[in-house]
Amino acid sequence: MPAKAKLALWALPALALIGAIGVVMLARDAGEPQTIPYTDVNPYGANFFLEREVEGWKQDRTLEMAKAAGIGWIKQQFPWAEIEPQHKGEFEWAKYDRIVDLAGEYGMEIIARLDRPPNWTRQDNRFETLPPDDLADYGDFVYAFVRHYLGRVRYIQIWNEPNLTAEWGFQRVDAVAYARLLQEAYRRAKEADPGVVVLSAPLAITLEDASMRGNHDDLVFLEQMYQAGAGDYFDILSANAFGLDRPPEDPPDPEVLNFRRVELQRAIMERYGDGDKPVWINEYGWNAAPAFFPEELLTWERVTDAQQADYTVRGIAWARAHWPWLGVVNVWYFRQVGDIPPDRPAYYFGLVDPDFTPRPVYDALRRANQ
Amino acid sequence: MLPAARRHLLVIALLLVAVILTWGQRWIAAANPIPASGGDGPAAAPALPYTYFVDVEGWYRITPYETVVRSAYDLTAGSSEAMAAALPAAVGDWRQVGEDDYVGDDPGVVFYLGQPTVALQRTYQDGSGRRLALTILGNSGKDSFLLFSHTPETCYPGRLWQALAGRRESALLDDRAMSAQYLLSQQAQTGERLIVLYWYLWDTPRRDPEEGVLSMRVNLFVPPGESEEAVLAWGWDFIRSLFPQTVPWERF
Repeated sequence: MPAKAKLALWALPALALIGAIGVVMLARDAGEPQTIPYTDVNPYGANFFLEREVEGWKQDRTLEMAKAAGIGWIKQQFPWAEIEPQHKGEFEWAKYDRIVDLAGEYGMEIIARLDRPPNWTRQDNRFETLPPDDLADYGDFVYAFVRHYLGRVRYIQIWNEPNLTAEWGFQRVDAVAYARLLQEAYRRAKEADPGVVVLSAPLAITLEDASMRGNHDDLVFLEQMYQAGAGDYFDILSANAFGLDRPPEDPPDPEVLNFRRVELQRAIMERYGDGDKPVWINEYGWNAAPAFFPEELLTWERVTDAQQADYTVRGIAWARAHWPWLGVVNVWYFRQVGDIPPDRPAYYFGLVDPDFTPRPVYDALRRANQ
Repeated sequence: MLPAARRHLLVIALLLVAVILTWGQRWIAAANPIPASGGDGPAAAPALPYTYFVDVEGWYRITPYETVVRSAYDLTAGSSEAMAAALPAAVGDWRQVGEDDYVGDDPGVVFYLGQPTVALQRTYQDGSGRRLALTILGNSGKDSFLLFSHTPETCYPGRLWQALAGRRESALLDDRAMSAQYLLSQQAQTGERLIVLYWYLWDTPRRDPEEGVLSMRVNLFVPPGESEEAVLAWGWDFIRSLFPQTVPWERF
């Protein structure tokens, strides 16, 4: 072979490789890729409690009203304890099949929260949020879930708020332990369907230190998750974004709980090289408890009905304009079935009352979507 | 080696370096399995190992005043003797005075509460000589209903303690409050005044009375010349010693 031909044989693949690497490096240097996956979506979602609804027509009415307001995402819990209640491998899908079917009828996507192990998975069953004794059991459940709803439920969320002791069996929270659970779930989910999209558990926003009473600051916990290698085991970071008594534009500060605290979680993602993944908001909103409500019960502070409506719409618009990494925003919550009485502040998050009366925040969202 | 070949090798080596720089972090992370729990976890486990759910009511509803508290003390004992053994003689600055009083055989207790599994009364005193009596009544199964139906409001008048005031009281344990029922009563013959703070306690959020529930009562005699507010404050001081910490908790 002539020397020039030999050179070409070496040089052409090398140049192609250099080109490819150059593209990758440029994308890294630019910070954000042009398009982050799962951001080009209908941003409007909400949390639903369809599994608590006994009457079918109420499930229908709920989704009908949600659809009318432009909501395209159903964030819905699928408690493991209800699906595989008595024995390993014995599944009871019927109740949840109905919910998934209904979502399909309304053309809405489900984000399935998978937690609440059944009693057979643990020796200690005092607390329903305690993880299973053997993570492989959880992995098996995730696998079965993804297979059962193959192509119908494409988004799964692995656990909920593991930085709260109440969501971790009232034991000390542990980012490393959660990362192991996430790893097992991710591995089995992808084994069941490589196309399924895995969301990390949203972290509760809190400034607490676990050495005090078991809850742990969300920013510290997220950092610990990354240090434990959790970044390889989710496709979308799920985050909570409550505004408390501050407007949506209130700037982020590690010592403050507000809507834009999400930006601080985002900064951690980017620091650990996860800038090419999106953030979806798992729970979002402002609480509009009446003015007479006792101060000591106001866990989420309070705003007026008018502020709740304004902030909720404004927050989503602001985030879409400023956060290219944002995907779905799930309002907390659409409607509860009547098991949260009006003497609890949580009652006043709802977009729609238990009797389907729309609250001002529902009307505002609906108008924003027209 | 030919100069051209050396150049080619150099190019390939540079390419390899670039690839390693780009993807090395991920490869290294993937090669290192997630470590066992606790390595980078928060510094210390909660010093208070027991978690309880307390509320001012319990049979008909869960009130908005339900609070999750942590304690150093195991209150899950299934008998008066075991409860007496589990509850130390020193609770914070409060020290036991006298012998435990096992009130399960008291005719009034038997009549109104059936056969409670736990029926214990113990007197504590602090360094200033202030005294209170802690009463713990527990039951499980269907009889646990009696703990909710027969409260101090219905019990004390029968023993000539007239109810003067009843309400819900709250006090901060840490940065969150616990609530208790408050009863102020007066002895019809002697004029003595007694404050009772009482609440119900479960060790799981299920709050299934069949599994067991405690009715806990702190009895505070109001000494002559002492204000009810001051006496109430020392009652809360004792409760804070039992439950120094709360856990944020919302039911959904």
